[in-house]
Amino acid sequence: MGLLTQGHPLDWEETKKYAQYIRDHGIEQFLHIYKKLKDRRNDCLKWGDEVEFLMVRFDHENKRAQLVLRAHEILPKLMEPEHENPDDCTTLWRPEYADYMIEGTPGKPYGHLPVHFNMVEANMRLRRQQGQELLGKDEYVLSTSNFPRNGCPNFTWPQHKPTPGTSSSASLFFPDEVIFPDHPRFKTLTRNIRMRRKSKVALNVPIFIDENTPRPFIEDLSVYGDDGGASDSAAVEDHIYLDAMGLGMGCCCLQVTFQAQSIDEARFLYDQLTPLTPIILALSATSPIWRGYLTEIDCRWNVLCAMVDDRTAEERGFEPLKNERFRIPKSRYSSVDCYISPDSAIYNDEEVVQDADVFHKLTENGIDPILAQHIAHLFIRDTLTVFEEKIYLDDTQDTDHFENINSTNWQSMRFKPPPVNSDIGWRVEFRPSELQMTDFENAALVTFIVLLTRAIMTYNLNLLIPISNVDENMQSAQRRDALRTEKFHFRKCLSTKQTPETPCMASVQQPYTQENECEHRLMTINEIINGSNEFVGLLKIIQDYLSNIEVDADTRCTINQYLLLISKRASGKLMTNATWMRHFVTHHPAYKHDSVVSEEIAYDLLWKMTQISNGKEQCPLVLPRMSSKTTLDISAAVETENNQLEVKRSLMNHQNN
Amino acid sequence: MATESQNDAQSKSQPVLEPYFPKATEMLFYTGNITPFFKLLTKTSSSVTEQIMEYMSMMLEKMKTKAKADQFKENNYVKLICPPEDNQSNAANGTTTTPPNETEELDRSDLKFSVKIFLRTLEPEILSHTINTIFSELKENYLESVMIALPNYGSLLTLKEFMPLWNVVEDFVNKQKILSAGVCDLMLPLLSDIYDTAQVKPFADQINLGLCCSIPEELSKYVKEHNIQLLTHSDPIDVLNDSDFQQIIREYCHEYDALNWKPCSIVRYSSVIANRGIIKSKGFLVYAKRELNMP
Repeated sequence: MGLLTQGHPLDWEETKKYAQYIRDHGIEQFLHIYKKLKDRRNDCLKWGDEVEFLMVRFDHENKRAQLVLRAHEILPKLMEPEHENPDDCTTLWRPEYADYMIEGTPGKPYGHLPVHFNMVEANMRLRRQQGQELLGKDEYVLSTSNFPRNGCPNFTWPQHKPTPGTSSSASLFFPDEVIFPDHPRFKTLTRNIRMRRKSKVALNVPIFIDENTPRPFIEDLSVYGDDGGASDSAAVEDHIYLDAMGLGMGCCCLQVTFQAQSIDEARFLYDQLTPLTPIILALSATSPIWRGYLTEIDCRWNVLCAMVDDRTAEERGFEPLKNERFRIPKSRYSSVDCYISPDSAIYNDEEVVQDADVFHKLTENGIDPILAQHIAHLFIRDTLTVFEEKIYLDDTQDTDHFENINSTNWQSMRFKPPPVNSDIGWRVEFRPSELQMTDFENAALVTFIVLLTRAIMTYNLNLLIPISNVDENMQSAQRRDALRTEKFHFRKCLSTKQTPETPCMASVQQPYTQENECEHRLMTINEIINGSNEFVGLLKIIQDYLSNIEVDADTRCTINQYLLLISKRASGKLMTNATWMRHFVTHHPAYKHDSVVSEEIAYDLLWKMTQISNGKEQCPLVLPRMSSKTTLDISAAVETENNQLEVKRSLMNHQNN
Repeated sequence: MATESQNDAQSKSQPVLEPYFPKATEMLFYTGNITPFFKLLTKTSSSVTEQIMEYMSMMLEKMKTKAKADQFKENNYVKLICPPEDNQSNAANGTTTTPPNETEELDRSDLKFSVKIFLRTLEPEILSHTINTIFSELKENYLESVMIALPNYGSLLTLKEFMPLWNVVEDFVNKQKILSAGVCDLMLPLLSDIYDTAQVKPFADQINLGLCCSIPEELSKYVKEHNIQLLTHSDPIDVLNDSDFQQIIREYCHEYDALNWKPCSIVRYSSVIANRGIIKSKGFLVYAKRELNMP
């Protein structure tokens, strides 16, 4: 969602002038927060998920599914409970880039009680229902990362024609009217990214070559309009050309945010979760179809990287550096470039482009070089939006300028300092996951990630591998059928503890890594998750952790179902959403084996997904038969016990003091 | 069982000429905190039985190499305890990443202790002794949660046999040494009989779900109505039997040292950092007795 400052955005020429100003004051604000709150400790481990939903309108008569542009109508209603009773809502809502998207989070973050894992799915379902209630006949809330015919003619309702000559994106495919209209941020970002870059954003996604796919595949883009020749030079044969922020930011994702106990723990979690980003990306793959064509990719990630890429040709290395400060290898939307805990330094094996002045300013003010490097790297980016009412701020009270840059670095992990004047702690956001079609699957992914963090912290595990290997993994993860066919770099021995000297233990925990032996090797997703003779498997670690925690029967049941899903996905017994969509398309009677996902095929696919997500149909290729025991009610017994226990313990502690 | 290293083989194969504890009729194994030794390398799960036997092996091995030859010769009660310094010093080396909760200071109010006592006898004195031992070895003043598991998952158990055991627990609860107490594997009608009879009501019933999630409808209804939590475990019916226990001793000690032992109670405890769901410590105690025909 990002920073939703209200007000009037400056135009690009004006915005550009503030680049250094925002940078300077953003760093001031960060320093202030750091000094004030670096010792903040939050007793509770809190976490929450974020789900972005699509809204789709089905025309059953004409077998057509379109994205319905109603977020601006229904969001005010969805947000009413929060305005009336901010401390007591079960769900919270925010707008997102497109007028067909709504973003929901649980009203209150989850905490340490095992029973919270049993509430995640029920809350997701509630959000779906709340959105659904406000929609009309034949309009449905859907959860999937990419609408398969996003950018195709008449892909929305109401229908709009792209106007590449005048729109903010200059896109051949994505009209301005699809962008969420009630907040200036999104159109401003779109336009300013293009203006800074001095060209349209562009990506060519390789098309999936099927029996009847024309060879070479060349799309006649002139039918879409005139973009002044941009597509002529940018489009590539055998590829699908994408040219708008909306084709990326109009995708939905699933995110998990953790509030750590301290800044150190936040940095630790950030690092330990980083090697997992490609693994989760591969497990959750759900985007094989782009602009109505089957492609060679299963995930949205690289598309998003390209669709908000504001780097100029110089920065991208296509022209010698003259006006720009740096050559920058990646878009501001990308996988992380470095770990941020001091102990992780040896794994930062890639050069990190940094603003040297920022780095020095930070280290002079007592920030360690590793964290300084991270911030100095984020701050190579220029601001993309400046609001005229929010330029002159009190840097000791406001963090808008810091967030201006931090929140427009869209990375696979995000490190989030506390906002001023709140008691929220240091947080970490896990961002790579694709969005599955059912609440069950999304809850399973979230639960898996959270349990893994608990196990990592309990057993003091270390998952780190060189960051260059994580980057390689991120690319592998997005390929067609990566889960079943690709291998990923993963750490061989996750334990950090030295073996005790007893022979019995020594025989169990052999020193795997001799002096020059590599700490990691290539593994399949199956091996990483389910283990093998040589590797413990992430699921076993979680099961061990769970066996030591008192978990109520219903929650245990639910968690078992979730872990079973993850296990079967990892082994290939159940398909990813992406694989299943390909399967659906290629087996559809109307499919001509030419890679084209027509309106009719897309309609049938999306309707099937709607039915599955509402529980009206099964999908045994993708989902297990049993469902979970998720509920929003924490049983009275748990509440009572928890309360009584807290009372007793505080009495005991009083006595003992 | 673990594959044997050379040292292990040597110490096992060297004939033990005399018994280490010929007069012992009571024995206690206490592992100390084992969370630093989480076994991460093998995929195969080890059951709780295998885990306990492995730690017993470790401690017997230590006894042989580090203890003085006649340390336990006169003892009636042998205590094998893994010294805390050993656990910590072994754990401290060679970390590349130091997770922050290693270095944080925690006090007692941050932790929540949970204990499960597997009883292999119905004698209340054994339960009493076990609980007192937990307090003295763990050096804690109170425990948040204690669960009592009966032999054979409590099948064929009568209320008459159970209540003396529960009375022991109630005593500790009334003295505020145990804050909440629960039962394991009990079904209706025994559970409801206990609930009706007991002065301190069980706060939870811990059952084995197996791989299916079918909780008996009746039980589910009952626990909801009486504010009892239904928790889960995956422990076997008999955690450590006589022959397993004796076998381990026999492997490291003299034949006579292993004779007649019957484990009476096995305890698994863990402490969790209360608001964060992170396990801080975990360990086992095994208390066993035997009768000897002394000359």
